[in-house]
Amino acid sequence: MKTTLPHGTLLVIALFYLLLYIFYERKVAFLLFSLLCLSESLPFWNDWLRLFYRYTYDWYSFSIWASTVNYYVLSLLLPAFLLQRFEFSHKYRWSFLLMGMVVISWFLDPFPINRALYMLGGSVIISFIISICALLKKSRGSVLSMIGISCYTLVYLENTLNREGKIIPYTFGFLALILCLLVSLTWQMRQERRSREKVIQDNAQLEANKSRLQAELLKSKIQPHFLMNTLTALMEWFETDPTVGSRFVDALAREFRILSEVADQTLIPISKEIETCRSFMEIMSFQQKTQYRLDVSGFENTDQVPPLLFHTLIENGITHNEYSSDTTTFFLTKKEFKESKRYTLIVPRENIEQDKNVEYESGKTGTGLAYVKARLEESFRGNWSFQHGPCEEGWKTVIITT
Amino acid sequence: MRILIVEDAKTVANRIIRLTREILDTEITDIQCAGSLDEAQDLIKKFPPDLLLLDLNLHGKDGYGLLEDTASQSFHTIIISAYSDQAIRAFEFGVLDFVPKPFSKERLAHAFHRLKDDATPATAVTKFLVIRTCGKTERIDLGNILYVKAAGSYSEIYLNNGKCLTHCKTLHKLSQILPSTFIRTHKSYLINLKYFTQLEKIGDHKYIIELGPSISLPLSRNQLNKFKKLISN
Repeated sequence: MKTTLPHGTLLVIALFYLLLYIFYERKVAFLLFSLLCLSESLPFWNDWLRLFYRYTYDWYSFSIWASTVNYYVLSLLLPAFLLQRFEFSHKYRWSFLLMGMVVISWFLDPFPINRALYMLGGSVIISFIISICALLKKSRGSVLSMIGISCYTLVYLENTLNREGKIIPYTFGFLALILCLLVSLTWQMRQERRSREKVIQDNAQLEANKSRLQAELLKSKIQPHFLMNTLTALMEWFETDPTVGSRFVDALAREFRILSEVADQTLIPISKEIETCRSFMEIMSFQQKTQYRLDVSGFENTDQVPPLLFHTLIENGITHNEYSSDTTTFFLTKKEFKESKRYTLIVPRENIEQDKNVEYESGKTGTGLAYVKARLEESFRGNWSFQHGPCEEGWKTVIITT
Repeated sequence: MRILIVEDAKTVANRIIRLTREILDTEITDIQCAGSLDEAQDLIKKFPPDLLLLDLNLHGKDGYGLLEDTASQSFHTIIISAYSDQAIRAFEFGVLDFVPKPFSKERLAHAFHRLKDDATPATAVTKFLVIRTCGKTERIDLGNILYVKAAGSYSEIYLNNGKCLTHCKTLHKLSQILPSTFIRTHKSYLINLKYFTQLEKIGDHKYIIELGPSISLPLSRNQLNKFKKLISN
């Protein structure tokens, strides 16, 4: 009865991980681990059963078969668990190896128990190899499982080669393995919990960023330069030309309607974006000497961009330039490549010679560009680039997303 | 009166022109409008105005550089800006008024009224005078000014360190932008009450004002009662 303790322990662990699998998380590793422990403790419970219920001799051979099958199952469970625990890809290659082992061990010996022992030996070797691979992969907990497998191997060899005087019972070897795997499994759970927490944290951060960008977007429309000049212009039209005033209010309403529509979105259809650009340009055309136009090419209806991406750039362009000609045309083009999309915006400039390019980098432009870059990062996560600089036609901004 | 408007939004500029014409009417001899800081600087050089109406934010550029420059000149500046939170900073330069956008005709008329002699004295928060010497502008803290003396179309600023500087604005124009601690005691003098030590009678109805330890300035007869009342407070 002195081996009740390890077997009892194994049964409790099996039960615990089974419950963990059912109620906590449906992780295959949990189930395999539970079955592994159960399978190891089964022969003992078979012996134990015999103390109370002595089945007849004709059932004895069935008992041997059952025990053999159990060993086979055990032999398959150990490598299967390790493969699952260390998240190996190409599990099917390993399963071919295990199936091969089943066949080979079957033909090596006619006696079921010996077959089982060969099978178990093969299982130990494969488990050893898996542990080495995990070690090479630098998986966390691989050292521990290596130690466990080594203990198990030593006890297995000692038990197999030295059948007369077993110094350490086989079960203790297995128990050492199980304890090591248990610790390694617990580590993995901790690691997973941490990464889950990090994901939650990242999401919260992302959500916060989103709100900030939304606020930024709406702020650009209530910033004094735009709002107060617009209100002043309105006052003027109401006093001098109410018809123009009404048309202007109409354009303004359209602009705000689109803004409230897109403010809380991460990506919007390009047609919406172009609509916001054009409605903004219309508002500015009312207030300035020139008529603004936007020439668009290369876009498809399915294209999506972060809201106010080009709008912000166009707004920057209009704010920082003085146009005296009757019409001013901005050019927005998209080119699609195999793995990337290139958006080009050309803001025309008059008196290029006099202009100092540095003006673009400083002052109020900062918030606009920061907004554009934050939106790109939100939508494309590092897979984007933003470049701008003077060109022949004026000022060129190139955005590439992959 | 020559008026220069610096404003980048077309409709707003039109509004300023229209309202200015309506308010000042025949007083105006010329109205010019500049859409950028560079253009404004050119126009100021070529045709110095009598009044500048300045927007502080032009094409995303900050207009304080121009304000620093114009504050030192002979004409008055009225700021018309969307950023009403910048009023205090603009007033420190000694601008005549700060008109926040959007503005009505009445508000603009109120600003122009400050040009008149009978205008209520400025509740000005002017902090310093900008003085141009040898092509460079220099800010003179009001606390360092003992008194200002009229010198034709200029003014002489006497400082507590014994120096004397020349400002392009007339004494009258300076009196319009300086805070109430500066008192007109004589048609040619504007004194800083901070340095007033005593009032001395030197003959029949003749008084002199002593500033600091060694400066004596005349007090004109028609300012006597007003001044006495002021110092008794």
